Amino acid sequence: MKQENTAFGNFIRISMLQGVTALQGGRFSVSLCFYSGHPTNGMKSTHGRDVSDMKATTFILTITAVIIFSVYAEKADSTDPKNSCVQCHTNAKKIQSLYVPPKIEFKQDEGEG
Amino acid sequence: MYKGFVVSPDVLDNDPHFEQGCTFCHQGDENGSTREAAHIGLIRRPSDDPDSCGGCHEDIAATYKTSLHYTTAGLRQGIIGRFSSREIETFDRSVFQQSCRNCHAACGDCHVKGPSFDEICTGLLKGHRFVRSEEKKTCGFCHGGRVYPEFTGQYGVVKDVHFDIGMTCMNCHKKEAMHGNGVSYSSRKDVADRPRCENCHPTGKEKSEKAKKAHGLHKDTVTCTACHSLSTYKNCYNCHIGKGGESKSGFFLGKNPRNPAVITTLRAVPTAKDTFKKVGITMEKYNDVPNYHDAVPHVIRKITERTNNCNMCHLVKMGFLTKSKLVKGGPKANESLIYQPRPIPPGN
Repeated sequence: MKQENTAFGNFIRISMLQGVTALQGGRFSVSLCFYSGHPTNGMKSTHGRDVSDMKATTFILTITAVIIFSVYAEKADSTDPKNSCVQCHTNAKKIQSLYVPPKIEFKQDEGEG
Repeated sequence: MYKGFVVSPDVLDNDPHFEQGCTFCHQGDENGSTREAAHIGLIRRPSDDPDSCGGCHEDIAATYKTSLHYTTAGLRQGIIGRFSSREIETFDRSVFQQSCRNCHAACGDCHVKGPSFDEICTGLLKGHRFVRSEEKKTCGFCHGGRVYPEFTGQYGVVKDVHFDIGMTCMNCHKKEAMHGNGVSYSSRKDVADRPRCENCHPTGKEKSEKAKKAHGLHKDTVTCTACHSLSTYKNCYNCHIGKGGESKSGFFLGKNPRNPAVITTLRAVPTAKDTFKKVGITMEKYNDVPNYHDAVPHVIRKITERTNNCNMCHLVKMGFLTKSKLVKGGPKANESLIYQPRPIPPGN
């Protein structure tokens, strides 16, 4: 999968990776950080901070990233023509439940002789 | 039927019509969470205004505005001959736009969704695909009172030979005629390039001498349908008088109301004198227009009783209008359509 090397993209990736690392005790940090291009030694306490502080920070960043990602995803969906009217109009059961048949009143003597 | 409103998901990715989303044409609120909220401001038939299609289909939209399917001028023309000039004004002001013109066909009625009459509609033709033609659901819906069932044999009498060999409406009624040519005709009978039998069946190239002779003798005086309509066809009675319509099978030959020198098949389309009484129209010229229109019944066959035997017309006078056959209480103009064929001179 091609990754775009934008600042926002890197932020999301790094935050998510840090969050995963924090939540899973760093078990997958090496492989995931290798995938993202983020140096693995960045996860360790080489900058003089305590590991537990780092876990908390990364957890918060993860939550933030997830929220931002959700907002962007929702916005993308709302501008996509396939995800609004079509949600109902491609769903036969949904349309059937909403369908209101026309009221047709026939006169008593109407019709072909 | 609810299925008529279900869009096929697979059409959305492959058709450029959907690139701008549903609301580009239909308006409404795509973020509405309920049916009612989503449908606020909805335009059900965007192509009621041909300009909505004209952004891409500019030429067609321009000519279509003058076509009879859009102007419905033929309906107006069919009745105003009975009106005084004052009544025509009243009709245009109070009846035509509000009533007759509701039957116009928008682009989408033929290409996306079947046409509507009141609230009756067959729905999307093919899951909102933009189709070139779907005659059964489009032509057949509006013209299903007479011509289409005749053509397809749904009256149980006979199928038109052209339908029998797999032809459909569009084989004769070309898309150029449907889309208009920029001329605002008042009747389909005035359209310059309307379908003609001779386009496919030119006279002089008949296989049999009998046919060649018959066509030569009747050229310009008898229409093709007069001899080649195999069976009876639908004739309407009691329409427009507030009691519902009634149709009867029948076959009438007589003078063409638009050209009395020509004998043709006639279809009864009686008009009650008090049809528009509510708006003050009493049809001051009621007696000037006959209750029979020159018609092309779609029950065509090569061999009929009349092609087989000239005496069916010239001696038996089968199908020819007589005073006793005329609509009771109809206008005096009906009598002008009566024609008595002469016996064939001996030796011919």
